[in-house]
This record gives sequence, C-alpha cells and structure tokens, in this order.
Amino acid sequence: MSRKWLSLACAAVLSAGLLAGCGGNKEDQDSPSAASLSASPSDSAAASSASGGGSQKPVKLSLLNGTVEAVDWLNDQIKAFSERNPGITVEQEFQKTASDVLKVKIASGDTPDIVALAQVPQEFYDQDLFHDFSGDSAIWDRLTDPSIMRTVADTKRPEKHFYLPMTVSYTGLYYDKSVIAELGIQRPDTWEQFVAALQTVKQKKPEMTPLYLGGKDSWTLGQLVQYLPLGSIQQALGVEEANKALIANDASKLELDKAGGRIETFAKAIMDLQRNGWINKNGSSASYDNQLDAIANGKAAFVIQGMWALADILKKNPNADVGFWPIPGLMPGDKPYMIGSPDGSVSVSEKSPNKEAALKFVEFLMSPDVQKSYSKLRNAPSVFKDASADWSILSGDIADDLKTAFVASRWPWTPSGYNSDAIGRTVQELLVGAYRTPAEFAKAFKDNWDKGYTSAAQ
Amino acid sequence: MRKTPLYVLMAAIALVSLVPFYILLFTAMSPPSVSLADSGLLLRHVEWGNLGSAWRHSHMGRAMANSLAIMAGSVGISVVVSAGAGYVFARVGTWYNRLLFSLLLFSMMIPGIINTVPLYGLMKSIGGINSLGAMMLLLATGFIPQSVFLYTNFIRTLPRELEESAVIDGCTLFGAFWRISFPLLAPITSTLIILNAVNAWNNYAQSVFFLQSQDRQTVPIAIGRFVQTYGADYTQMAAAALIGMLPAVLVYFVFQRFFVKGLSAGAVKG
Amino acid sequence: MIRPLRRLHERLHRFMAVPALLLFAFFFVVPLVRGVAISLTDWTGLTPSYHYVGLRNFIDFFQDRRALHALQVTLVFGLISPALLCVAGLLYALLLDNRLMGRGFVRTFVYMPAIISPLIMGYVWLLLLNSENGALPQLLHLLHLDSWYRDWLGSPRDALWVIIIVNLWQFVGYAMIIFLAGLQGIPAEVTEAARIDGAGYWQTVCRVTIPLLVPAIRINVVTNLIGSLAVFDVIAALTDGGPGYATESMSLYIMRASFNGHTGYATAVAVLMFVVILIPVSVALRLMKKADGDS
Repeated sequence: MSRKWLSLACAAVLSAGLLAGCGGNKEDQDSPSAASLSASPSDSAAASSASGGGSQKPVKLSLLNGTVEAVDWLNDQIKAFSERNPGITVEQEFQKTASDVLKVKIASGDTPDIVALAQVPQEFYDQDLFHDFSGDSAIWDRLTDPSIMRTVADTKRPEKHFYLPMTVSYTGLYYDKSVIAELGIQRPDTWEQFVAALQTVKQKKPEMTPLYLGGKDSWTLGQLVQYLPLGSIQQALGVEEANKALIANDASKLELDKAGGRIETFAKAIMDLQRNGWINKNGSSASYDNQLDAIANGKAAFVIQGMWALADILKKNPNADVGFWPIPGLMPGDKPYMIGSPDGSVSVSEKSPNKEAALKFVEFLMSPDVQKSYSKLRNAPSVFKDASADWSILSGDIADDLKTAFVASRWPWTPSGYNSDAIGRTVQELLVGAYRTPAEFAKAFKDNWDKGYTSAAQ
Repeated sequence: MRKTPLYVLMAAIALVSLVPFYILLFTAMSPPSVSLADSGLLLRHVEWGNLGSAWRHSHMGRAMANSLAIMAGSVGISVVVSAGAGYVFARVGTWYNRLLFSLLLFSMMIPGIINTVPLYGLMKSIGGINSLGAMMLLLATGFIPQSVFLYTNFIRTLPRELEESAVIDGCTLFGAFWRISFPLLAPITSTLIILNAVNAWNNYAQSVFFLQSQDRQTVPIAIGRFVQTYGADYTQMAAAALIGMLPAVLVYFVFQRFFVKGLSAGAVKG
Repeated sequence: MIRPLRRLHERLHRFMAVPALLLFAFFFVVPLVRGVAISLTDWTGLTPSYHYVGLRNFIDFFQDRRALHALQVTLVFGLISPALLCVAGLLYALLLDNRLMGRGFVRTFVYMPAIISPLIMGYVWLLLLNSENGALPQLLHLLHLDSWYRDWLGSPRDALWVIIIVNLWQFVGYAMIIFLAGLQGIPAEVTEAARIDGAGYWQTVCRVTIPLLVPAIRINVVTNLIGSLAVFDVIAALTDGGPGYATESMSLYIMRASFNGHTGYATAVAVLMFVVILIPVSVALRLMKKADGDS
C-alpha cells in the first residue's frame, strides 16, 4: 500500500467529515425555535403574525413521537398531508424515551413543533411552551362526550387546554373466558370476591397462575398502585378533587401513610397474594411480554392491563378467548374500577415560527377519516363523534363494564419524580421481601412520593 | 505435557464464546411463537422471513449506510489526528506536552454523563443535530485519548533517526512522519481501527440524542426500535442485531491479524 | 516552494497535536466545564431557572440511602469484575499461548462477543435466563437438573452476580488479547531457563511470567476498572436496576435523577462518580508501580 495513497485517503476522510458537518447547518435553518425559553407574550404574538404567510415558502415541521406502534401510521398521514399541502414537510422523530429526549431538547431551546403520543411534563405546560387549544370549538364540538374537554384541561389552569386527545384508553381485568366459565366464577366486584376467585383457580387448576404479574417492567406494578389505592382516592373524593389533592400533596386528604389506610391495604393485599401463591413466583422478573403471553396462551387466569395490550395478545394467539372486566375495588365500599381516560395527545409548540403550518397538520390529523384509522390502530374508541369505528373485539365487554364500574376519566396524577416506573420499583422491592410489614411499605412509599415533587412543580 | 486436555479446553472456551451468537441466530431464525424452550434448544424450523421483515421495519439499509459513514469518518479522523498528536508527545518532551498527555489520559476516567446536557446545547449551536459530520467529530473526540496513548507509546520505540535521516534527504519533519513513520505504525492503526470501529458502530448513547430524524438513524437505534417499554419483539430484534453486526464483524476479521501485534507494540511493552 | 510557505512546512510538525487538542477542547472540555457548573446548582432540567447551591448536592448524596446503595453496587461490580476479567483473561491467554492447532480461530472466536453491543448482549442473556421460556431453564430441565434452577434475575443478590458473569463473558476476550500480546513479548529463553532450573509450570507462571506481564496487567486493570465502574448498558438491558433498586449502579442512578427533575444534583453525582473511578485507578497504578520497581 503506497504511503501517498494512505495519506490521501486520510485527508479525504477528514475533509469529507468537515464538509458533511457543514451540510448539517442547512437542515436546521428551517425549524429553529426561539432560543429563549422565557420570552414574553409579545414574542409569541410576533411569531404567529410572522408566520401568517407561512404557507407560501417551504416549511419544515418537526414532530416528536413517543409511540412505536404509531410510527408507520404517522408516516402515512404525513405523506397524505404533504400531498395536499405541498410546501409543508413534516419530519417525524421517533424516540423510545420521548419524554426524556423532550426534556433535553427544551433545556437547549429546541422545542419540537409538534409533540405526539408522549408524556409532556407539567412544568412545560406551566411555562406556556405549548399552544392553548381552548378556543378551537370546531374540535371540541365534535367530542362524543363534552366532559372530555374538562378532563384534558390543564391541571393547574383549567381554563387552558394544551393538548388534543384522540382516543379513550381503558384499563381493566382480562380473564380467560373458558376457564372462568368452567369454574363458574362470577365477575368479582370487591377485592374479597377477587381473592376468592383466585383461590378457586388455584385449587381447581393448579397448573395455572391465578393472577400473573409482569413485574420486570416496573410500570405494570406502578399502574396497579394507580388503579387500586390511588383509584380508591379518586372514588372517595371524586376525580377532579382527587386530582387537586394529588397535585398539591394534600396529606390530610390523601392519607397515604395512614395506619390501615389505602397504601397499607394495598401492600397487605400483595403480600397475601404472594404468600398464598396466587401470583406467579417470578413476579418481579417476568416481563410485560411474559404477562401477555400468559393470558394469551392459557397459562394465567387473570391479568390486570389496559386495552392497549389487546393487539399484542392477539398477535401471540389469534384465538385467545379473553374477556374484559373492571378491576375489583380494593377498599371496602369501593366500586369496581376502570380508567377510561382520553389518551393519545397531540401538542403544538407555542413559540414555533411555523405554528400556523403545525396547526394545519394537527387539524388534518384530527379529521374524521384519519381518526377512524387511528382508532382501529390502537384498539381504542375515538373521542370524536364522527370517527366511530369497529375498534376492538372487546367493545361489547367494555360497554357492559362502563355501566357497572366507577370510570375514572383521568389517570391518578403522580409526581414527576415518582412516576409509575418508580412506584413500580418500590413494589418490586415489596415482592422480593424488602419490607417486613405493610406499614413499612407505606412509609417508604410516602417518603418517595414526597421526594418526587420538584420545587418547580410546587 | 499432554495436549489433549488443552484441546478440549480450547474447544470449550470457543464454544462458550459463541453461545450468544447461537442465541441470536436461533431467535432470529425461528418463528415468533417458537421459543428456545419449546424446540429443545435446537434450531428446527428455519424462518427466513424474519430477516426480511426486520430489514424493512427498521430501515436497516439506511441505518447501515449512516453507521458506515460515521464509523469510517470517526475512525479515520481519530487515527489521523491522534497519530499526529502522538508524534508531538513522543518526540517533543516539553512540560506542557507532558501535562497535556496526562490530561488526555485522565479524561478517560470522566463519566460521559456529565457532558450530555451541555453537549446537546453545544451541538445545536453549531448546527450539529442530525449531522453525520458532527457525529463523526464527536465520536472521534471520544477515541482520541486512548489512540494518542497507544501512538505515543509506540512512536517512542521508533528511533528519531528515522525521521531525521529523511530530513537530511530533503523532507520536512512533517512529511517524514507521514511518509516513513506512519506506515510503520500499521499494527497500532489496525488495533485502533478494530477497537474504535466497533465502538463507533455500536454507539447508542450519543446517537440517540443527536441523530433524530428517521433517515439519519444508525444501526443500534434501528435495532432498539424492537425493544420497547410496551412489549419487545425479540425475534425481530435478534434478526436486526444479526444483520447489523455484520459490518463490525467484517472489520474485525479484516484487521484482526494485527490486533495482538498492535497491542503488544503500542501498549504492552512497558 | 515559496520561501514563507516552505518555512511553514518545516515547522508544521510542531502543530500536529493541534487538531486533536482542538477537537478535545471543543467537544469534551467545554461541555465538561459547563457540566461541573451545573453540578453546583439546583437546576431541575425542566425550567430555565436555577440557583447556586454550592456543595449542597454533594452533601445530599451522602444522606440518601438509595444513593449510597448505588455507590455500593458500583463498587462491588466495579472492583470484582476487573479482578475476574484479569484472572480469566490470563488463564485464557496462557492456554492459547501454547502451540496448538487452530488457536488462531479460537482466539478470534473468544474476542467476538466484545463486538456485540453490551445492550444487545443484555437482551441475549434475557433470552437465556427468562424464567418462562429461556434457554438455560430449558437446558437444566433437559439434563434433569431442575433443582439447580433459581430465578436469578428476580433475586436481589443473585441478579448482580448474573450481571458480573454476563460482563465477564463478553469481555474476557479483550483481556485475553492484551495478555497474549504481553506474553508474546516475553522471550522464550526466559521461561525455558526457569524450567531448566527445575521450576514447575505454575511456579514459572507466578514467579517469572506474571512479573514480566506488569505492563499488560496495568492496561487490563485500568481499562476494566474504568469500564466496570461506569457500567450502564448491560444493567439497563438485563434488570433495569431491579428488582427494586438492587442492581442500580451509580450510572443508572444519575440517568434517572437527571431526567426526573434533579439535573443539577445528578451532575454532581456524576462528578462524585469520577472520584469513585479515580481513586481505585490511582491506587492500582501506584501498587503496580511498586511491583514494577520490585521485579
């Protein structure tokens, strides 16, 4: 190998690298957001009027998406939109941990034009980084249920609405229809009835797991806490009041570490389940995937999950015979519980120079046909009257459940520093015996909960 | 000493090392419903379709092109600048050179996490987001400390006369280094190519933040798409991982002849 | 060539370190300085506001039980792994140093796991150890050794050992190659002379070979110490720090704190992690300098 050739090659690589670095500059020219995060209101007014003529010159929108199932669907919608609106291109960025990436971006002054299907921390809504849709009556009038608008209102300033929902997601108790029918088990409404049902399964079908936990994915355990003890708070105070109490960390109303209170009862319930062998022994190392596999293939009788899991369950076993009940109430006096909450949010950056184009794209996304296809994609009913579709084989079950259960229109709020992932990890600790008594668990829970509030949120 | 037990041991460690590849192969080639347990650990039903669908769903072709560019660029840049720096540190023993050398080594101990958030702002200000070139420079920077270390050590073992006699013949020291000494550094260069090319290829932590748009994503990000919070598709992941691994394995096979020699020359001789 | 250009060309060699140093200064030093500055604030990472809090973050670290546990996990993994890697790597290298047919292939294969990204390696092991349908439980079942099976990833104590083993599995090839390089540098006469003097195999290894391998040991120890103390990917893939926080290393702890509204604090912990890496590495280097001096 001649030396000259080698040094030439190196020089070529080096210059190619530098040139490619220069090329990157152009990409970013079209969609920089205002660098200052604390710009005054007059800035945003100027930005919207400046982009008034935005449809003339080519506009590139950035869209951050946090849901992998929607990547291809969004690409399809983007293509359809661009055909009708030449001059506006939308660039989708999919991130597994979209929430985290969003935090880094915004901290560097780089707010995406559109954020879809990802959790936006409350702190960003508080800083008015996102567009307020409150005046958009064209959208709100199309809702199947006007109360949905109240549910998606901002938690701190209810007169504002920073995101648009697309579907309603439900959570509940999946059950193996044939086994349940065989054992003659009725729908368990209370925790006592539920425990009795689990006992029956264990006795009559020893090779089945009565209730299967996918604890390795800690959010599955964290959600149990949201459905059971926190859901119970919602039942006691009403959804809106409960929300306010949770956000304010109102100890007198929440009573998180009260002796015999909800968290303790929850811990006791889990410990009982474990001691009696009514949950899988590998509860803390089995994954969400294992959990779905268990209910799909008849290895488990009950699984507590959301409707989003249905598509994967059917993928694992197209003939899976599952039903959907509400989740048994934990505390005496609680009704069976379901979350039926607007989901699939879409937000638009307030300070984006391309805001008008972004809003146009969102308008397109919300149109009836697009919403119909989304509803089918996610196995969830649309929030819009004109977008009803056949969204799931369990829609009949859910219609029944809605009549008997306490349906929470919102997820119980959790502090940003102690979200359902983190809560789930505390439950993992419980499963591996880190806490000797339910009271110990309740105390640890309360400590973590308090620490999870950042000074910014309070 | 009888050789048979040694051969047995050798075979054993070779097999043990290949287990992960077998797992990947098995998972990639089986239909999703067949697990390792079901088929008694042996590959019974071969399912070629997984490779194709993994390729398509993860846009592997595009990802590989991006990864290839970044790998070539970052390794090329780091080799060139590190060899140059190695020359200076090896030949010119001033106090500030020694200090800089120690600082470079020192920096290898600093966890990268400290840099992440400020780095994002920095990259954004130079227009480096979504830029393959900026990624090349960033990764090359990461390779510099170790590369400079190896080059400096090895150049020290080359006699100064090598370059100086070329000067007498009419070269500058600059030219002498690149024409005469650098080719002699081939074992080190090969070693660094292997180590850094693999690192560049597998880089995830930086790529995921800075290469955002779908057509700039690299192989690890493409593979990562199959392992989600809400359920993992291991069959596809394994298929994508197998395909994605090939270029790195190729680089390794091409350069590995010099691997031991390079380390021996540049690092291990006191 | 024109006079001034020629002069420049003659002096060019003095500037050959400049590109490297420029890259390093820009992409490393600048963010680092800003990072250290952040560690002295209470920045949440979510709002632009922050306050200077001096060393408060560092003090808070030592008062947080979970943080100290992360430190413990980091030290356990970070000190045991390099030791095991060195021992195993040396044994492998001694084996492959013999004139055996096919040792080139074996050497190639043993290094190959290091080419896989640690994240993927973690997932591979998940497939192996999965209690429902993993390969290892199935293998034990086939061999009628079911009693040997435990849910390792579900047990706080066992999980960390699994991670140590996975890490060992993946990087023993790297340690081995470095030792092989070192062994090649030892002239055969030296070891032969020892044998002629009546020393047994292992005696020769301990008394003659290992002292001559100190440079190789130094490289292995330092590289593996740094890598193991900063470990992240393999833990994230295998246990995500679980069950609970049993396998949460400092790197994981820092990531979580950084994205959960405590970015200033997280950066301070990262500075502490640097100290945690610095101390063992310095101690190791000093010990080896003494060993080098003695031999």
